[in-house]
Amino acid sequence: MASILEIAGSVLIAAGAILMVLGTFGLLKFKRFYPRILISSKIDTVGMLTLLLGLVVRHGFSFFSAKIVLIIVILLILNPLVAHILSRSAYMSGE
Amino acid sequence: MNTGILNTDLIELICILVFFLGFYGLIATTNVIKSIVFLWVMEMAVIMFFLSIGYNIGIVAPIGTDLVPGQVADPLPQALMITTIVIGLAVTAVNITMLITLVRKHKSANWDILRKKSSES
Amino acid sequence: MIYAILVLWIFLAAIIIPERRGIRIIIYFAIFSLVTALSFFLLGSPDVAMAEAAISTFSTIFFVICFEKHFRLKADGEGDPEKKEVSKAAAAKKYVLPLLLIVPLFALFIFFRPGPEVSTYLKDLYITRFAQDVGGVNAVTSIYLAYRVYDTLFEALVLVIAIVAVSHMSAFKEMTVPDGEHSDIERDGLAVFTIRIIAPILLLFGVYLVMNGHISPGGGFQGGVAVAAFFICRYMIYNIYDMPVKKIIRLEEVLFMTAVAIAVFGVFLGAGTFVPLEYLRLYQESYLILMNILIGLKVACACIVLFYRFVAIERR
Repeated sequence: MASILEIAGSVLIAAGAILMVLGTFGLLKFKRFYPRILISSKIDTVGMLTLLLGLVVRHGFSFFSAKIVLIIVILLILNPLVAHILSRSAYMSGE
Repeated sequence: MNTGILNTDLIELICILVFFLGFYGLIATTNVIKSIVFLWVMEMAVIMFFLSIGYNIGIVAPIGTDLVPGQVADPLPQALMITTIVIGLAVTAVNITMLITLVRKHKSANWDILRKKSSES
Repeated sequence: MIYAILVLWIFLAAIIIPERRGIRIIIYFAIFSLVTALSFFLLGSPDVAMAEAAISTFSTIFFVICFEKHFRLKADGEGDPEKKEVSKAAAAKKYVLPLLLIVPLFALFIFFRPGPEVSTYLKDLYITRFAQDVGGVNAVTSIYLAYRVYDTLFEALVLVIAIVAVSHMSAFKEMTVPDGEHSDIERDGLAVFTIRIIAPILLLFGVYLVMNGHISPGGGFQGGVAVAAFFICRYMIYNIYDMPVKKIIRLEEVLFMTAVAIAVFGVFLGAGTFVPLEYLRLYQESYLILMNILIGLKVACACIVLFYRFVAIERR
């Protein structure tokens, strides 16, 4: 008998995996640079954050969840920066 | 000597294959950056070979208080391979320094051109 | 699971061979190293995986900052337009002749491979006895700080030799640049703002890795590299080359000699005979933490000196 938290966490993990697969499909579909950087930042940010949130919900309130929350905060700060720097250097090199 | 190929451990086979891919790249290409990268590839193959000794499905890391020797990975190759990886950083740094001195002197990073120019001077 | 990752590993090693652009070689190199780290983790060795990820990131940084100006130099020569009319015989000689050497060697290696029987004597001995001999919870840290401490000291010596070799092979003889000289790399304001937030967390993470090396994955090497990454962040924020390189090298030598002294002291003054039983655990854990701190600071000093050497002097 699985509890409600476990079911919700599994659903979130599955949703993150589906978002990652869709993002990879878009990455293969588009050929120009700027649509690709848009899609790949979706993989990093949305898919990864949903998957990690699912892990937090599954494990409940513990030290392990606190570490994952720290990883989520760092990803939330760093991933938009990576996309920004990639697109900026592409613009400056004349893509 | 071990004659059968079918009863080999698959990970060992893959490690030897990647080692020789790196060796082939080291011989067949003329770019010096590629040579440095393939030295790293060969080193990684050797490290993977050592770490895969005694691998089984469901093996865990050797961290904990009540460990059973049958269920954990071998800690001795891991302790030696950590030092090997840090030595790899030292090797790469010295290689990059030598290469950048060559590039600044001869304006090229190709083994053929470099050999020709250094025999002229 | 591990086999799928290993197939990707072979593919990434093979894709570098026909590549012509210099920057793509370095990107494939970074991806190859990260896939290797994932495979190490799946093989049950998180310590080696963390060391591999951190060290390969440093190697990639060295490559990028050194060859940033030389990527358009046709570093290859294989992609030159005037080299297109190379005959097919020459290409065959270049690519097939090494193959004739490699394939028999590969067959020999497969044929004379050691058998599948593995001796587990040392493994059983270490795993059953490390907790009472050395203390700590992490078996890997216990082995490389106590049973095999001279290997670790030799590795630390190799890093010192690497710094000497880098400054000897270089075309420039000076060790530092004058204080206050700013680099010519233009910065992005958003990047600087974000790195200002991240850098203290990174330093905290490095100190955590060093101090908790004996009870969790991590240790001196990984934590030292994380501490050195903090100084890379410091360079990216202030954009200035003002590190006292000679003092850092002197500190590194002092740390190395201290580590050798403590290791010799520990060998000749083995625990258990001199230390009372109720203080034994305290003695063992303080030895592990002290050695981890010394090795971590040593690796951090070496990585900082190498990074400043490359970014301030070699890339000009």
